Amino acid sequence: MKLLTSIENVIQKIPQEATGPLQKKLTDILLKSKKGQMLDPNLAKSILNNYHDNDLKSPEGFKTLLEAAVSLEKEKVAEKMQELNLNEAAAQLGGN
Amino acid sequence: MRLQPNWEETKLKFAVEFVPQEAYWKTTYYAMLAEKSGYDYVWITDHFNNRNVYTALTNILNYTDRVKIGPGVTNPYVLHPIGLAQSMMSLAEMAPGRVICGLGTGDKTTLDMVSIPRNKPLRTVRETTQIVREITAGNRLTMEGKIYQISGVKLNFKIPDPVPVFIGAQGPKMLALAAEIGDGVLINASSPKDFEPAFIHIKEGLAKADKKMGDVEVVAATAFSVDKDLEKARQAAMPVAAFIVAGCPEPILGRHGIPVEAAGEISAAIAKGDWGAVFSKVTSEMLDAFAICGTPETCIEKINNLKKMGVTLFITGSPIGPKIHKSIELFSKEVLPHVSD
Repeated sequence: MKLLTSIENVIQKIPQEATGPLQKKLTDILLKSKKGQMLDPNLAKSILNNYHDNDLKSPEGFKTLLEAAVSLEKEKVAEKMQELNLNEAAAQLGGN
Repeated sequence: MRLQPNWEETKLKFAVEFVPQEAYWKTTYYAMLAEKSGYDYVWITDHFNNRNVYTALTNILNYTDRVKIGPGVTNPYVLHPIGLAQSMMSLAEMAPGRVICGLGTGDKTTLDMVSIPRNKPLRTVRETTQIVREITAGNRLTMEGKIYQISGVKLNFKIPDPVPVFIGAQGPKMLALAAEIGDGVLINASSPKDFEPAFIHIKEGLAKADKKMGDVEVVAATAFSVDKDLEKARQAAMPVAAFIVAGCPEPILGRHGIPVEAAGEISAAIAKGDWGAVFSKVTSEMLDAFAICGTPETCIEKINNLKKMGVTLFITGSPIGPKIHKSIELFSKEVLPHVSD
């Protein structure tokens, strides 16, 4: 519940127009992660459901992707946010 | 009662092969990506040291809507053919018409690890094919085979159509057998030099069964790697090429002008786990002989060459590229439109 609330706080710092580019980077991070086996099964299922329905770009899909990527590769997510000048979101992530 | 599939379409079809060595959700994601990218088939390899092939296929069926799927390939030594037929029917119940049984004699290295001998491969494949056909057709099977004896077996559920059987083959006799009894011949090769003789044996097998080209899918099961950066594509293909060279029969090495000693050196380096030595010994000639790898333009040319020879289904097999999802997207955007007509 704490993580979910924190993720919502991070999302609030991400402008709508940045979610598309960030979504691609989050997907890359997840697929490249060596910690794939550690992903929460419910999050994995949610990613697959959203991808099947072409909903990864939706607010719910984006939140799932972000939560999953942060759970496995928090530092890499922060790096990518900084590359996209999403410094407030990255800072919020660091503070969680 | 034998299924005679309708393979009349002349359009080249495409399959992707995944090794289920990563977390299950990644393999499922890649399969969905392949479907969305225009692939026709998704094959999952079967080795007991990776995730279970049927678990992977079940999950893929849950998340895909169109692609045909199957083990690519499974063997009848680890799992008895009746278990194989049961697995195929259970999958086909979930997605009628979308399940293919890819069958082969297995990977000697992993079979040796569990002391399973690869006895009488031709007879084993012939009898297994019969068992899968009869059982998936819903028939009660009694069989006094040289390998398998079955007394009045019928499963307690039915599927609309029998599951087609594609047979993995490399040697002359298996190629002929695959053409004779299979719905598809999976040729483990990437170079036209290997397909030329393969077609001779395929035609022999077809003639024996009074079949013609077009009655079977001719499948190129290639080691494939595509990237916009030529060197990255070739680097990614190197480990796969090394394993192929190390396990390659002498006549096939000779066909490609690769010295047996060079293959022996690679095999020894693999056994030692000396990957630096392995990669330093894989030559450009080896890559060109045993993989289709390079930029989209290079891949287009090589795929079209195989299509002209009579290949009807092309498999982009492992490694697919330096990054699987990027290479699938690249293949879809820059290769597929130029090879699928």
